[in-house]
Amino acid sequence: MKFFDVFLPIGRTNLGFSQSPCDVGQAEAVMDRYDIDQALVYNVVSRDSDMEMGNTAIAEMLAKTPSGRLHMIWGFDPAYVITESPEIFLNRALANHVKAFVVNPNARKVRIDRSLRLAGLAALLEKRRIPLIIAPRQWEVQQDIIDWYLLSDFCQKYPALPVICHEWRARSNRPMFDALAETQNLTVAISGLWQTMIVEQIVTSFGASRLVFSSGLPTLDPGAFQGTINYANISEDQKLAIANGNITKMLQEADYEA
Amino acid sequence: MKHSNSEILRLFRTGLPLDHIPVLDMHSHMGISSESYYIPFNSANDQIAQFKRYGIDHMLSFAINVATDARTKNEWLYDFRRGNERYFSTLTTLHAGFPQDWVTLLSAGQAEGTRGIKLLAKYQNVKEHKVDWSPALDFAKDQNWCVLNHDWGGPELLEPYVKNFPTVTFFIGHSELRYKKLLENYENVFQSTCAAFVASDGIGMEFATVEQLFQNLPLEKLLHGSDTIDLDPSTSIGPIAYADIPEVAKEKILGGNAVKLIKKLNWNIPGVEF
Repeated sequence: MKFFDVFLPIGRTNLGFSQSPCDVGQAEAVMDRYDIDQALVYNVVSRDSDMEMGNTAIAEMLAKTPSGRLHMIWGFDPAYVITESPEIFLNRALANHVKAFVVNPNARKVRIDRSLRLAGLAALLEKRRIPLIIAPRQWEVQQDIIDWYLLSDFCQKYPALPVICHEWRARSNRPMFDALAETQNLTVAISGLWQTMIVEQIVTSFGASRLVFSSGLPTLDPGAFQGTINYANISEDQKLAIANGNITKMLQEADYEA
Repeated sequence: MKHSNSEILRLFRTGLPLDHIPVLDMHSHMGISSESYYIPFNSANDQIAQFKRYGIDHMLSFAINVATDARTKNEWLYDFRRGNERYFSTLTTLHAGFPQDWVTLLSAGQAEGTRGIKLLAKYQNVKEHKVDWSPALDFAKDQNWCVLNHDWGGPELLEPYVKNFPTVTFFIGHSELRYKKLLENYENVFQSTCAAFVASDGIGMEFATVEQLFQNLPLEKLLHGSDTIDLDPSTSIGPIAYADIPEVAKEKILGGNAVKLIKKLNWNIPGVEF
């Protein structure tokens, strides 16, 4: 089974594993070791603290060392006072061959259902069906930081927008089940799903299209989650969809014309 | 990679059971629901089917989330195990806040064939250094029991118990390096690999990777623990399968060491021969 990691980091961050790659060569080496064929990549700074600094770093890295296996994610800063409009930001990103965007609402206390600037970007991405990754992260709190009810409201407001959520550990599964039931366009990265047979449960209740593979780097062992698909009591087609098919389809359906 | 030719990794990559070696899980939970989540596919039959897909031969289990009434949770676990003794051994969980209940709970566990005790004071809002487990360990001694603690609170708290109760086997519940000297110096201390896939539990504990365990601790003392059903067995077996360590080390960690221990403790598991 070959995997497509939807959120592979470049760079060091808190509680990171030593396998966390810092450049293209290291990224491809870790992918080879852990059966990851393709990846959407971001610089950790884009998620953790300074979106533009991280975006510049990942763009420069991939320009210097192009890779057919690494596809760029840019972070989006929802600060209302930024003068560059979401439309100009998006055009700039597309000119740099960006394939997906990440927003960290915990940087900080941003309500995704209320952020005016995020609303602007979401509407533009929805028209183009470009994936938006919602990845809450704050350094002093790890688990259960997604507000699934706000996330559900957000997804329902932009029903054609492919939304992928990614967090360290989505332990509280009851609100997650509600969010999956209320939406059609919400997909969960499996590295946040640590429980036994949670993959089977989501496939059974909501369909295999609602899950995508993530290795869990930088803060989880990159060999931990392949088995949740390899050994899942689901069909081979469903395994392939989660391992790589769902994200490949999302990227194929997106309109990246600059 | 120094050790790239691994049959365990080949099987893991293809989703085939590790049936060519004994695989024991010495740290697992069972239950239907916890405070944090609903547990999918929580019946014994579903769990056993899951073991078989991975090739897990036997699990040492205790009730999930005993941050509540221990008696109720333990009794559920004994019922769950009944008829499935080939797949499950049980530990009796105590509540750190109610020492007056311990002997009653342990007597009930003894009658149900329990293999020892599970402790998790941290989740019961009791500081580890404020608990004296000696009365429970006194009950456990000379019964070939083991005691698994979520967090012993450091080697300075564990060492007196290890010394005073040499016939009790102590399991360090999560993947740590703090207990290196105890593991080296005392026969009755073992280290679980549980949670080696994560750097921290997010609430204060720091964990070691599989390669760090192998490089720093006595290999014969490492026991595979998954934390199933809190965590999927993939999160424990995967990092061992992919680890850059010798194949024989993977085999010992996944089950070889546990088999030796079970034989030493004379745990006769019906229907299982290793």
